[in-house]
Amino acid sequence: MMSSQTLHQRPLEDLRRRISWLILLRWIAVVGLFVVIFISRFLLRLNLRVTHLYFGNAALLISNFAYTLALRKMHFERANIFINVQISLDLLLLTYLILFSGGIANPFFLFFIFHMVIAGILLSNRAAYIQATLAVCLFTLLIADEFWTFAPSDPLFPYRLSQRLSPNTKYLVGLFAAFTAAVYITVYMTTSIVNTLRRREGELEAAIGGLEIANTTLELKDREKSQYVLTVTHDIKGSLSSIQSCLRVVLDGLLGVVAEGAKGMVGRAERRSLSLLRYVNELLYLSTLRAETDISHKEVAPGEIVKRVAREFNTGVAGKSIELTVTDGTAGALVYVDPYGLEELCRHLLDNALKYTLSGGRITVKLDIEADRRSLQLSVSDTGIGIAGEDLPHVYEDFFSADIPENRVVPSTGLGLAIAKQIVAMHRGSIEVQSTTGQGSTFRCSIPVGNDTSEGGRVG
Amino acid sequence: MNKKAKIFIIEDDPDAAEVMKITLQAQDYQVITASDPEKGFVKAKQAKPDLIILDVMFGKQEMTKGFDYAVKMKQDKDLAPVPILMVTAVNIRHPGFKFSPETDAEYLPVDDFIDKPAQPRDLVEKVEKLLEQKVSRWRAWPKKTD
Repeated sequence: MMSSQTLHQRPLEDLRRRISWLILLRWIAVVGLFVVIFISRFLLRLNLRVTHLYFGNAALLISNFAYTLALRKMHFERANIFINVQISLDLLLLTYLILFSGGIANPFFLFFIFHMVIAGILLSNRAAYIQATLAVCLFTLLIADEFWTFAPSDPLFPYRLSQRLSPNTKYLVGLFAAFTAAVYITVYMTTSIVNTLRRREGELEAAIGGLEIANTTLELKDREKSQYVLTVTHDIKGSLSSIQSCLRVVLDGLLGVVAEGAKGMVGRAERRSLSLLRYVNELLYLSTLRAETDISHKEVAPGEIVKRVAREFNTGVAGKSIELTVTDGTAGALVYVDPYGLEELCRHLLDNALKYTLSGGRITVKLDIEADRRSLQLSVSDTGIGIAGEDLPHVYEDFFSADIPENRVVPSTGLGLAIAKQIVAMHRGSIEVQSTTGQGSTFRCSIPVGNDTSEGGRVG
Repeated sequence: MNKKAKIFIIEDDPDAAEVMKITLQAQDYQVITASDPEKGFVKAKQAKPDLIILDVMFGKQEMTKGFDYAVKMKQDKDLAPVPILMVTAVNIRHPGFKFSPETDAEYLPVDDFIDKPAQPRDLVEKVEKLLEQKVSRWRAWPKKTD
């Protein structure tokens, strides 16, 4: 929808720009002509009767005002006529001015040539050649003036090329031929360059259109892929859930007492199904995050969310005797943020910290809000085993799992930090990690937030 | 505690339904199951349960059919007062369809959510709580009643 609209608007805007350019050139001409008259009269002290010149310049000025006003109300269909009229009138005015300032003795007749360049750029090829023909006719009039002198002028230059009584016919014929050739060649060259440019522009537009189509196709393919991943993981997850539930029922003794040995094996099976479930859940979450196009912001107190997630971990922390402290510097501030994203980000960072922190260690969660309320700063520090320098660049990669004993005891999905990074990226925030082996790691995130729904991070 | 309460489970996965049934029967509840929400709806009207456990998803094509039936039940005068416990798949956030029990519960006429796979202890806890509550908070849906 957007592209068809712009396609209709583009030529009109284009024409408007071109006409504005023409009008600007004419303002420069008005000033230029005035300066020329001034220099000729007062600096060069040429004996010049300037009434016609002032009249011509005034006509140019008034016509340009009229064009400026007309441009605002211009209809697309009439734009071409509008430009043609302007160029024809310009040629007539130019002829008028030259006629009363020395005729062809006045070298300003060369200005016909640049009018041809403008015509070649702005008009259709046919119209440009018609304007060229008009220019030749008007030049013929200037030559005729050499013979019959119907414009009694005080020449800008105080002599005629030819004497009034016997004009140099051969010279004038030559001048006419050269002028005519110059005018038509100029139009030919300009139009051929412009034609090439217009063709390239057309090709470029077609290419852009093609790219847009390719992009849409890619997006569709992406969505198909994500739908595929969703379907597969959903099916796997459904079965895994049922397997785990069935095993749980047996382990809980709801179907009668289970022998210790059997209980051990069923317990192993249940633990494996639980870790597989976790893996599938994270994969599912990561692929849905990547398939999403925007974030839904809600007005929430981020401090409450972070504290709630930390409370969830308290029971887990107790098993390992780790001290978990939360420092909330937001003072209950309300901001627009994606609450679910923040929750998951916090959960995955805490999960990661907990996993690599030994008993007796400390985990510190800090939440702060910038003074201008534009971003949240969340950091999770631990006194855990740290991350080896060569592993640091890879921690956010999908399925990355450092080759350390901890990961052999409790297998890592390798997706937790990839999810954290994805959430931060969706909010157009940043995440960084500092770590010293044997001393611990600190993950710092900065998440832009909004003060109303229209602000904050957006994807795309 | 109302140990003889009647609980109606609508769940298309027979294994998941069976596990919930065994878990609840172990707590002396009466349990009726249905695998198809349409038939389940008719059956529930006759059975007059004290609680309905409704799965959010029924098959791949109709991922939110459970929501539709929750609404349909609230529009039915017999079923409107019955609390609904909705079984959700945690972290399922489809593109263009976002749902989280924490933030979106207010848009759905269900009284509580339980994540899949439903852990027995969690399930029993939530069932007990809803049975104590007796009447759905969404009896007069779309208005909240408490």
